[in-house]
Amino acid sequence: MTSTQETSVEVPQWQQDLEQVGFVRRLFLARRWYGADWWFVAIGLALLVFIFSMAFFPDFYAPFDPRAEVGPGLLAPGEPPPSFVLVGKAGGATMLDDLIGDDVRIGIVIASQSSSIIREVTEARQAELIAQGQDVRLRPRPQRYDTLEEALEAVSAGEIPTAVELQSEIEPLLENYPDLEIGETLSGAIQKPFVLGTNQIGQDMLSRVIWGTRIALLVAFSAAIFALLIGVPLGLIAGFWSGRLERVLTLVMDSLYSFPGLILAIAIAAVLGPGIMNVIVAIATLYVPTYYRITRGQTLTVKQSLYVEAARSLGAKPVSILLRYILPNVIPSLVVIFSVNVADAILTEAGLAFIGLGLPPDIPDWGIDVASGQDYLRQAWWLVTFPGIMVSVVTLAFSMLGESLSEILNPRLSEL
Amino acid sequence: MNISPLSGICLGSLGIALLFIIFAFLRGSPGLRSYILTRVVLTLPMVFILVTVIFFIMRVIPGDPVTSQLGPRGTEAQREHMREQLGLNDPIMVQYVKYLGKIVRLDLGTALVLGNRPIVDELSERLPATIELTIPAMVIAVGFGVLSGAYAAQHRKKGVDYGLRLFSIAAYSIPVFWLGLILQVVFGIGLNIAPIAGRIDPVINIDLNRMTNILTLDALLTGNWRALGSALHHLFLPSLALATVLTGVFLRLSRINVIESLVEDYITAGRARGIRERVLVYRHALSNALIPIVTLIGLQFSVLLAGAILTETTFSWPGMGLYLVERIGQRDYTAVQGVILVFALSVAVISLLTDIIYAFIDPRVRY
Amino acid sequence: MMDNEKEVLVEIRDLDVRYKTRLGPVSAVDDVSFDIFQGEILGLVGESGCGKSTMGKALMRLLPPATDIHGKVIFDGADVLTFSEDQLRDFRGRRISMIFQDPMTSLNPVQRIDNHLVETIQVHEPDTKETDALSRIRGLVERLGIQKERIEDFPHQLSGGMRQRVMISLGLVLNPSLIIADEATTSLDVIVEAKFLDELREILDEFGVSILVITHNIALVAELADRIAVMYAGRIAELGSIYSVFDNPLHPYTKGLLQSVPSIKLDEREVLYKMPGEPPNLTHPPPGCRFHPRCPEVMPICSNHTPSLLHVTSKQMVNCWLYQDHPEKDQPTIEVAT
Repeated sequence: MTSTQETSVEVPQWQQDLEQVGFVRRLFLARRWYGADWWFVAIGLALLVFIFSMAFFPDFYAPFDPRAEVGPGLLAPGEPPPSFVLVGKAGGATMLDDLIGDDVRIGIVIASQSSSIIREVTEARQAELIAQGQDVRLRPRPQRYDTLEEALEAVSAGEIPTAVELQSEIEPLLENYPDLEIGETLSGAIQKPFVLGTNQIGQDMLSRVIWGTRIALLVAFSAAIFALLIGVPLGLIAGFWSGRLERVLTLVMDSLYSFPGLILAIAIAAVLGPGIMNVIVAIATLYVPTYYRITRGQTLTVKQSLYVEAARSLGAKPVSILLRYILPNVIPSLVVIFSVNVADAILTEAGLAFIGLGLPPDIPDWGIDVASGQDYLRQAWWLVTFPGIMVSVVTLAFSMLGESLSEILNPRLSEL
Repeated sequence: MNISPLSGICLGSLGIALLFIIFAFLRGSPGLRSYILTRVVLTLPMVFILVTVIFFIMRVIPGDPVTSQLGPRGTEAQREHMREQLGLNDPIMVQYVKYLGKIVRLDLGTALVLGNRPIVDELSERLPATIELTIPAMVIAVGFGVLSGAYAAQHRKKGVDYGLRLFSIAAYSIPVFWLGLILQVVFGIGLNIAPIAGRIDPVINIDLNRMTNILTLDALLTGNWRALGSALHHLFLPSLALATVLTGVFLRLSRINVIESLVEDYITAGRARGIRERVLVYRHALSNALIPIVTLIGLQFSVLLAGAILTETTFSWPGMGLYLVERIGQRDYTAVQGVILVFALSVAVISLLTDIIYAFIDPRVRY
Repeated sequence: MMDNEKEVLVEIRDLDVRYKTRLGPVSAVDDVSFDIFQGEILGLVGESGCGKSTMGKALMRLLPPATDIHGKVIFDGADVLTFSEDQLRDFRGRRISMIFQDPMTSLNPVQRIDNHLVETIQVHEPDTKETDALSRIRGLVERLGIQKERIEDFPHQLSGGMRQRVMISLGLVLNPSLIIADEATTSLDVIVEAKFLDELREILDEFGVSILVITHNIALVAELADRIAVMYAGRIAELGSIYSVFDNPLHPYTKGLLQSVPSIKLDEREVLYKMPGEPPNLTHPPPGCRFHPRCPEVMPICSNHTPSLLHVTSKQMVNCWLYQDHPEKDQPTIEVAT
């Protein structure tokens, strides 16, 4: 005969603990029951912590100013910035300081970046020298050549003292010109590689992508919070005091709800014009009906429940019934809706920015970056790739959280 | 009144919708009839509210269409002329009534740019492109999404279920315009196996006889196989991008509904009669779940439209969405208002239709 | 041992069923052994949540996959619990079939009645043509009083009683040896229920099937069954022929149960017995006899040791320390005269 005590012994400790601990601990202990859903929530939360830290401290993560043109344009991810070198005769003008004077000529190849590099570097050096109290003019006059060979020929023949070009291009040619040697590296440009490359105007993609977090979260959260602050009270009131006003309100909200969200946002953003506040308003408008419908539906259900009837018969004020009995019942669904809305708002914001609506163009924003990268699709795949990955990851984090929370909290599904 | 192609398409589809509603009304039980009646009556104020909201959003919120159209260099006389022409000098309520009157006559005004053509004409050129893009995407997404949703439901809480759910969350999280660009980078530029812009090869396009302006359909009708190949080739990437995003949505819907069907008693009863698990999931549970899924697909129509706008922009697909974006760039508010109105009306009609289809195909009459 | 002339159809031995839930395993059926004989009606009664439905489902292995089942269910010499998926599919419906509580929800709402029947035949005999299947079901359907033209209807178009007939025809269509009727009359009104009972009786005679009637309605069992098994908290408290159990209930739970059934005698409004306490929470069942916290005749041993279901007379088995010996027991064991 089996003994019954066995049965209770077999209950794993964590399950027995469930009934005694608080909500947060219970969530942790419940991971074995909820399986991967629990992990989806956990991963979503972990991602969000990281994303939020990026949004709050972009300076800490971003190596550069997102708006500064810090490097050469269209540099591939991880590719070191090209180093430009001066080349001259041995013992001749191979250092930057050799170029002092008004009409030192310097050979450059037409349509290469070396002219801008030499200008940038000499200006910086001159400022440095002036700061040291030296009165110098460091302004070499560019002499343009069609090919690098021509320029090197000229240096070798002594027509000009020096030429400047990419180190990688000069080096293979140098054996033809035994009398020439490589001089100073012009490190005016930054030497550490750009992890995610640079965009068409030489801004660091990594920094832009990191700073984009801030604007995306700002817009998405503000929009979802605005919508919540308008939709929930309206829904509570409409659900609690039914009447003619409530019917009209519901009809309007239902119409707005059925309207394609992005199109409504496009209409509002197009009329309002660019600006962060305008985008927030445009997106918030979309979600008001969602909150309204959820809150009203829940309120109607809870209002008819026995304990609210009881509270009312005991003379509780409507406001205290609303706050004490109805609102707490609405909150779990609001958490899920909020999380889903933030995800959707990030997508909508990116979509608006992509079609050129919403944000002023100088703001580092993922949607804007994807849109401008579209023109360079053939040369530079990284311009569209990384901002898009960021949009996807942030949205994914919120969606995973919302979806799995709803799977866990949904009473219809949880017991199946 | 001359009937433009768009009015033709609109009137035609409205007519079909109306015929269906009448058919359902006549065939249906009394309960179904009163439901249809209520639903139709409820749609009218909804449409009216949408029209009104659009009008006031476009007019009342600051932003002067005349200034933005003419730019700062326009003279006062030019502005005055334009205001007069657009009827902006009337009181707002007069404008509103005139606007309603025009809509009833299917007149959306004329474009402010490019030869001042009637917007209805311009849209009728664009609508077929949008239809050509969205319908294949929708069909792929529904087919794939619903089946894989049922599959996930069958294997609930197992690896494949979590994998499919992760896919559906990811598909929803990826911006469709970005997915389009990545597909272009990989398939169009990297592998060079698919064109990344336009609807058809321009050379082939010359000898395509256009009837409906839905190019694949035209090519099929005229037996122009080269044109069909080219049109399908161009359709590949945009419809793939759009379909992927929608698949995620349908997978999710179908999974939840099949799960809810699978715990019903008739499934257990079927199991007790020895029916195969596969048959139970795909025939019994899915056929019951399909009924709510049909309604939800109707609700997803707005997701489809939003996706279409972005996909068209990405792939330079000359449909309604690209038209909207172009006209926003040109600050042509009459055109913008017109497009949005057409979108809104189609959403209202589709949601009406799906609700009625739902009530009609459900053998349990609930209303 | 008992009723030797009857042949055993199903032998249930040491059956344990444990559900895994979020709040821990629920021991829904605990160490249950009994037999079902050929051609008998066995009534399984108990309060809701006592495990009787689980019991019925366990016989057909219809429990959710995350459920632990131990023991033996021997049908025709083979243990159902060791069947493979294919064996199980062949077995279900053809050897044992089930009639469910709610005929409304137990029929696929979007499938026509005849399709239900044809599908059931074709699942087990894949070569059967649809027309043959249809002609086979015609006789059965008429026998059960379903009009021919109604079988092309959808379930929602039929009345409750008609749907229940459809459920019976589905249960009978493959000539099984045992039908499990799980609360099959709960959703019917009293008049329909009476008719249904008559039909069940006739079916038994005609088809020679055994029926396991699972219900909370003890009056129904009294009217219908040959034997009765009383379940309490996952165990069988008492099992015996209907006359011996009703005339002489032995287990304190059975006694309480019978006293709490109202009789329709208007002249004497008797005071119904109310059993103290609540049925136990099966996540944490009480130790020893699961009934002891509510038992009016509780002894010290009851909370320490679990009694077994043993024969007290040739027609009655009871699961109670009152009738069993144990070294730690200090009260005398009651002997029941046959």
